[in-house]
Amino acid sequence: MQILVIEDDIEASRYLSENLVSHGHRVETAADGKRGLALAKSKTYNVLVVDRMLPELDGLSIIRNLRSQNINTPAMVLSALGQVDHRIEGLRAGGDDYLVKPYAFSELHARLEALTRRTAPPDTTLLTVGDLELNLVNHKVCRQGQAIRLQPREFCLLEYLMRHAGQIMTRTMLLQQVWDINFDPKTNVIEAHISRLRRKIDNDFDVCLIHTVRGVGYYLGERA
Amino acid sequence: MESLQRLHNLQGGDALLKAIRVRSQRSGQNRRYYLLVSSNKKKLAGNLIAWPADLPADKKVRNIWLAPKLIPPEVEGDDAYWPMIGAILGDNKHLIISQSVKDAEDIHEYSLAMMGSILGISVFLALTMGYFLGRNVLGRIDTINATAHTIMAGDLTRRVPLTGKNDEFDELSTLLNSMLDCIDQLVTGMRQVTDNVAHDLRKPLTRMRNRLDSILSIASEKASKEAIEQAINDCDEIVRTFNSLLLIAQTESGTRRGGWGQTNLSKIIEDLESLYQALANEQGLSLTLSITPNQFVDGNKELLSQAISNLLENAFKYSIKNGTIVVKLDSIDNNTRVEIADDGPGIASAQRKNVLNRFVRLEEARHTPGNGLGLSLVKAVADQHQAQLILEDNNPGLSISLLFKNFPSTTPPPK
Repeated sequence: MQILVIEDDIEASRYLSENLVSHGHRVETAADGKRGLALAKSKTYNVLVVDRMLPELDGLSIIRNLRSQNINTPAMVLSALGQVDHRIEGLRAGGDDYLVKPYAFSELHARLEALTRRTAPPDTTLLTVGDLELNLVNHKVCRQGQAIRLQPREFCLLEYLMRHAGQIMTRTMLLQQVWDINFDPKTNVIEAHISRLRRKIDNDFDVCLIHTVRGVGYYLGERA
Repeated sequence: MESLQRLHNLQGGDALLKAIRVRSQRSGQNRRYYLLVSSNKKKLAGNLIAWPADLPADKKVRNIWLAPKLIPPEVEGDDAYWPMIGAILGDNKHLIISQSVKDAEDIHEYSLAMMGSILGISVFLALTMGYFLGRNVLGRIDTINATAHTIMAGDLTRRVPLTGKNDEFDELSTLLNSMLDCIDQLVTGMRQVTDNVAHDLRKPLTRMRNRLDSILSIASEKASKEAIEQAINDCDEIVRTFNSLLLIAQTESGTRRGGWGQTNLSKIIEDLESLYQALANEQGLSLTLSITPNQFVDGNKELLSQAISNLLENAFKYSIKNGTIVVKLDSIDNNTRVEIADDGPGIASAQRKNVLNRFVRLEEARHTPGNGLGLSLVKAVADQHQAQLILEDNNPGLSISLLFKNFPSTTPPPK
């Protein structure tokens, strides 16, 4: 995809674009807020990566400016300010996601994918991945016609993974989206949930649907 | 004048003459001067020299200029205006009664001198009293100053001595002393943290450095990749420790003020239970909840959630095999209490205060992962919510409670 990186730290900007390019994306960079805003206005991008503190014009002002002109390109805010209050501020300004420095590139990439990939429309009533079906109306889950009983949170977790089928979901993304938790617990609580879900979804079937990407996260899909 | 005139009319000239002579001899304050002359202006009696030419005998007080030669010799001083009164008596004798201006001036001067000395004495007394009172006050201020100087020189243990008089100065000194206690505590805390940061961060940094160093000499690509991965993990650990320290510092200083409001504590615990229940199952632990629904406290949802999560993680970490963790939430007398109890080894009562400090890890916990910051954050969050953090024996195990006093307001308590 076409990505605009607005970041004044040249080293960080180069690290980011090299990695994005190696993942097959086309990247343009801007080193200050004004130039970044001009680029975001004049060209079409799939996603913007905006550092919060920039010379000339700060990141949140850029996003506010774009939103006021109905330019709704998804925007990922990067910041050294890690407080929850700052995160809420960033999302209120029109940012679609917020990531605190230092971050792992895999985390950023997974979040950018989640921002841009087409997902099931919100009014869908039935999610399907391979032979797995999840009914959003009566909350029934079945695989190959066999009913699977899930607890409420397991259902939410599976729904989220199915809506983003094929995309890597990191631990922090799952914590935020499924449990509304914005800190990182020290113990790997998500791992426990995934293995329980796996037992129910995958154990009795030949093809595994839930996959682990080591050190990054999980995804749900037919590809083994 | 009237009385002399009457004397003359009743008793005759001789009596008058006698009376004037007697009166002329008088001295002292209010001394009068007299002159009795015959019809041809010849002096008959009195202490004035002669009749001044410009004094009419009309019984009216006039200021008459007396030349030096007319001034009685016993009066000191030069020519001056004298107030005098002249009158004609029965047999054409003329009489003057007068008063020396010099005397009036003397009285004036005397009263001035009197007033001056009274003023002087009063001022002296006032100053003396002021000095003694002031010396008392200044002495006590000096004591405070001296203490302040010693403290500034580095001796933070010094305190302002109290006199035991229970006056304003003792009140001020007590206040200053408690402020000094606070500062002392903060400085000690900071010193401890600096030491611990140095110690606890040097460990992963050294480890990371050694790993990167060994990558240089590793031949196999697979092995070097593994070493790099581990170095990245070390790096993440350092970042996590820094983030925890930062969060504790922000919470303690009260800079995290956003997101305050009535927070559903029951909901937070239910959410966390849903998160940790799977882990409890995996580890063969029993996690049970006994909570009153919809209990609200005034606070920050994120911080409360993280604090309770830290307590849960501790309970998980130190639980024995097949152990039980119980989370209780109830409200008594407008106080909301969250209790997390495990049946692990617990913490000896002597250590309970110590474990709330940053980076403190008990000997028994050395082999488990962790940075010793979990309870410090809980303490900071409790303090900011004006909640009590209570560590008790669970017989066996540890019970940690957060006791919230419910405030009617929705604003964060002042810090």
